[in-house]
Amino acid sequence: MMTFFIFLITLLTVILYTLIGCITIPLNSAFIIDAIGHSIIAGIAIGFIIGKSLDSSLIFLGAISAALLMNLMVNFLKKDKNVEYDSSIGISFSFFFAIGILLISIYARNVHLDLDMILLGNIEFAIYDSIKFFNIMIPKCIFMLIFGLIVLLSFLYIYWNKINVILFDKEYSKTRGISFFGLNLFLIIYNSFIVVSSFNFIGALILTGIAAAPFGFAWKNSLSYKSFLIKSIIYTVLFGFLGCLAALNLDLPISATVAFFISGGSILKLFEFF
Amino acid sequence: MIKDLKNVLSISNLTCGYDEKIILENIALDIPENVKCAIVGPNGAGKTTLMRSLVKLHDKKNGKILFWNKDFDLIKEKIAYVPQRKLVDWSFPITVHEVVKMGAYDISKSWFSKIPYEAEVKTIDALNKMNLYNYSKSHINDLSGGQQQRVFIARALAQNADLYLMDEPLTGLDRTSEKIISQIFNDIKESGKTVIAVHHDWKTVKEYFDWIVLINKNVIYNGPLNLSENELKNLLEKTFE
Amino acid sequence: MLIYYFLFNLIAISIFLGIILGFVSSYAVVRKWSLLGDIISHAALPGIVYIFLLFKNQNIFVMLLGGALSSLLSTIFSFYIQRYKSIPKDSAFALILSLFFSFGIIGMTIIQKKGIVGQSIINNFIYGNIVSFASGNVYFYIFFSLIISLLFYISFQIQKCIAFDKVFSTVRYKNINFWEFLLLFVSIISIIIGLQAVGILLMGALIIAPGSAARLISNSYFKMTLYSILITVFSFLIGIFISLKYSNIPTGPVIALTPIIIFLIIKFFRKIKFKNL
Repeated sequence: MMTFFIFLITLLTVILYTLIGCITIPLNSAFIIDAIGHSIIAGIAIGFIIGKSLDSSLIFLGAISAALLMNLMVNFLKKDKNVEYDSSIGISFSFFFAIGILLISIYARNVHLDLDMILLGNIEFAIYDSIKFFNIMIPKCIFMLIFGLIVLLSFLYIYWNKINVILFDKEYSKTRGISFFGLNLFLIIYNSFIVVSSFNFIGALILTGIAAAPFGFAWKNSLSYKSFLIKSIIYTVLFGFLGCLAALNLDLPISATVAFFISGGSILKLFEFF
Repeated sequence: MIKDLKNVLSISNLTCGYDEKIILENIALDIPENVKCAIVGPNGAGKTTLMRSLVKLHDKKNGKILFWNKDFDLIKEKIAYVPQRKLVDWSFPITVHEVVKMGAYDISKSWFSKIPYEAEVKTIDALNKMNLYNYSKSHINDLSGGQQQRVFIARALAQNADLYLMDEPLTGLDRTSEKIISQIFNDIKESGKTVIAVHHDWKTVKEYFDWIVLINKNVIYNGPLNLSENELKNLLEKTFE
Repeated sequence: MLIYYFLFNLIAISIFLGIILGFVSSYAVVRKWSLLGDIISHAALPGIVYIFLLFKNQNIFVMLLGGALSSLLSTIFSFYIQRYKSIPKDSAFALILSLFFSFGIIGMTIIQKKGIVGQSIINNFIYGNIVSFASGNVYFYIFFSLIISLLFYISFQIQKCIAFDKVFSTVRYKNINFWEFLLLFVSIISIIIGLQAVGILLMGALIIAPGSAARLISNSYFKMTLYSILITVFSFLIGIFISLKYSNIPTGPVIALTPIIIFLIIKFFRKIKFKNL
């Protein structure tokens, strides 16, 4: 049963981040997701220090605030023509990340606020945090993942036409009266929420690999954005499954192995090994 | 201001630029309807900045830009914009047909994946006009530069606009594409509509256009292209010095 | 006496590391290598980890070499993908980073599970630990730093050419490709050496921030490099000073945070300056 849940959590996470990558990366940058993952460390640290407990909702709040502030900082810095967009992302998340590590080292050294946990996640532990649902103990994260998927898929469904145009030709869409301010805002808030909600099982460091994988798997040969999405999901789920299988059989860390398989598979597909 | 001359574009006191730089300062420009107008000038003169300011891709610092005496936002469905080819990600997963279709309906008012039926007809019509029907199902990356330019123009045509704003539509094209696009300019004029295009090559401007705006940080000339060779030569020298 | 010797080591290493990383940051910023810095740091992990795992070798020099090799590999990969495959640029970088880094994490977990002693050495690379770093063979690092600084110094004009006008440079200097590769290689080595002080996770900041800050206050590449070096050295010294005074504060985050704060201060004052125009 536990194994089933491990697979389920992995696959749901993979699908979710694949979709997130498919939208965020053409619109923005691959590293903004990575940046969110790193910057939440500051929020977690502050939330923990104030709340004095690992279960605190302050941690969640702190993490979200950090992610949003980081995004604001990126927006502020990128306006300067002497600063590259990539640099503004790098500087912003490093700022929050360094502050987070600093705070943890000073105030939380003794506590089990293990940095490894935050960066790598631990699916193996997360499955034990469950609640009863129709007489079965189901891990809480599954509900969160399903909810996240429903929100994202609904968003895609409603804005489908607009998203297609915005992602292909941002400037043209502006001249046609489509404002992507709303899309941007939704993505920033949504991504922050998802990353913060998933760091305890998937970890901040692995997300980017999954989000970028669609571009090796399905970008080049797809004739429509829809088929791009579908193909990406099929491939990432396949490789995610293989990664999970390998991790469980060889006693390797699940999130790192899954990330390795998915990014590896994507690169292999990019170089047309299959 | 002559009352019966309808101006498709009226610019007054315009100061515009980007990234805190000012490229054009306090310029004025009136372009009448139903012309094939070229905007010509050296690199950095402000041609593209002007074009992009017209469609509000750059915020203007000062001044007024009116289309048939109205603001861009009020009349934008009647204005079709064709950006520079190099600014788009051609590796995006999309077919020629789907790109052109974007122009055929009002996207800002469409929800879900609903597209009005007429859009399909307009799309095929535009594809035919640009000789692209056979490439409908092709990935846009498989096309040559000239064909890609035609896709963008087809998208603009599908909009059935009254004004076509094009940024360097004839740059780097093969002969066939050049001919097709040049013919489209004539069709646009014949149906009573207007095209304003940034044109990169002053040597060929007489072939495709009948109105010219010479820009080099200022408007040096704005008028019909029925000038003598000498007059044109003098003006060009003034612009490109 | 010993404590002075130790302090001398620390300061000497900081200065020399600061100089070469200052060079690197300035060069990286004009080459628009912001993400590449992140990749080089993260991709070093598998090299470090697997050399350790396979050869049971705790020699720092060997581990550094392993790190340099895997970083180099990842960089070559990145450039190749960027040039020949038409996918959005950063997704190529993100894939490479994820591949290498996750591979490294797997190795690291194997080490942890096997209970092999040496986890702490690897942790030093991830989080940075200049104190343990400084107790090593100082003269070795100073020697390397001098060579690297010299290389950066004599290739100064070439760096300018490569960064600002590649086409022209290829015509003018026949061996521009050699220099480009050499500078990349030297940058990687500098970064790998610096990893021991700052750590993989924070090194990216140190590669972008000093150069970016320097750029805001200079009009020439020479001044930009100079300021970048000054800022980086300053960051190292501040890191050491604070670490020595407050023993529970690690050097890594302080060294990484300092140039960022300097950058923000400069930006803030520029904004005030421009608002008054």
